[in-house]
Amino acid sequence: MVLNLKLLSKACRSKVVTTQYPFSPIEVAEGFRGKPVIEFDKCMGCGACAAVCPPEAITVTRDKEKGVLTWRIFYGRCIFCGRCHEVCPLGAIKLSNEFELASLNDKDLNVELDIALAKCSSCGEHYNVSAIEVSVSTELLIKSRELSKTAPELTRLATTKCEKCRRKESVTKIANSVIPGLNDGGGV
Amino acid sequence: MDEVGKEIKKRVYDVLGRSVYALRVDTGSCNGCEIEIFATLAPQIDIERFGIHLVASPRHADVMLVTGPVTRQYRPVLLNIYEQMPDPKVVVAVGACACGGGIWYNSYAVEGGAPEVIPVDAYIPGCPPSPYSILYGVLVALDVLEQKIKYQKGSRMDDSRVENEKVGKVEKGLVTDWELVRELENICRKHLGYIQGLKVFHEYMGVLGRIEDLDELIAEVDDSIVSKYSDPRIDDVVYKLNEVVRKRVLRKMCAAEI
Repeated sequence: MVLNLKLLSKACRSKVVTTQYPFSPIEVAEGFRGKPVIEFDKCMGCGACAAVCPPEAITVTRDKEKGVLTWRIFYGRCIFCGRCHEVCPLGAIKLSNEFELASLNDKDLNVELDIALAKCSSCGEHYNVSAIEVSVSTELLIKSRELSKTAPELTRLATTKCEKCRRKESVTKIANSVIPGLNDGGGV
Repeated sequence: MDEVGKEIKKRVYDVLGRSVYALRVDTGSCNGCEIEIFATLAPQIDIERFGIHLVASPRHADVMLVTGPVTRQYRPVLLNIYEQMPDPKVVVAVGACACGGGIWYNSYAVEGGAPEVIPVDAYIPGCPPSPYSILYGVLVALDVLEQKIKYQKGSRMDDSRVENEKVGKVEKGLVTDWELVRELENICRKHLGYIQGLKVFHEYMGVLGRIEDLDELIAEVDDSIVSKYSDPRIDDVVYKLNEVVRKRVLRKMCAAEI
């Protein structure tokens, strides 16, 4: 009985602790890891987030025929670890404060982004890198070194070729250096 | 409780004629989601103010809260529990594992989430979902609150080149080359982690962008960053950043003299 009275007096003194949550918004703590949000205009489709995602909630698929790279996140599988935020080189994906993710439909938990694949400048076929990634990395390459005036154009030309064409080119170069005029008659 | 809460309670009573009874089913979960479900029953969130109670028997339940990736052993049991619940029934998948398998989605030992076994009406993502998101999700399952998250689709199919200003905004103040920016960013990330480190990095870059002189920079950084945080770890990192910038500026001066 005495104990009960003690508890009663304690309960009277303490304030109401229940939050008014669904009726008034709640502030989450600083550094809360909520829904990862992608900025469509920033993403270049490098796939770093897909490579590190532990539950593979983020996937990147490439369709060479159509020339489309599809970036997809399924929030249902996401564990909100923040690895994608950590590795994104352009800061395109960031964890937000949003936690109200509950949904009645499985499909509503998906976010998709289509990015164009790069086209080879010599054979004209799509290859496994997005066009924006090629242009971004080329610009960075040009910027990071002090190059002569003609070099930027050469760099751009070199980076916009698919791996097959590049291999062919280097083999041709070697062959030409060993036996000059080998490539004139036919292809290698 | 204010007016809206009373309305919700009245609506629940109108539909069911009584409170909502929820059943918690653990299908091989790590117990993280269980702890959060019990936290929603605790005074701070107190889901019982909406008349939602936890019960032990599936025969009493209206709502099933499934946690865990559904192990192979648990599949028949889950089906049995689902059949025992009276209609109408609502199944809520709580947590990443129940929604889509979580980090075990392709394991041989699990079914890969509750939707693989039984029809699921509502999904609450999170690992584990916070008590607030569970409250929100259960209310969504009861069709009380509007759903917020929707399927989105974007496209970047235009083959245009990225403008130069997007690539590196570095041609201001003391910073002129992109490699220095990377070096500073790496130091911040290495010592402070990606959230705090990037915050400090952006603040430092903001100071660097508007200042031309080295001594002025150190004074300004002391003023705006070091005194703001008063954290010895951040002081240390800022000192390192200053050293890197000083070296770079000195090297540039030497190169200019030659």
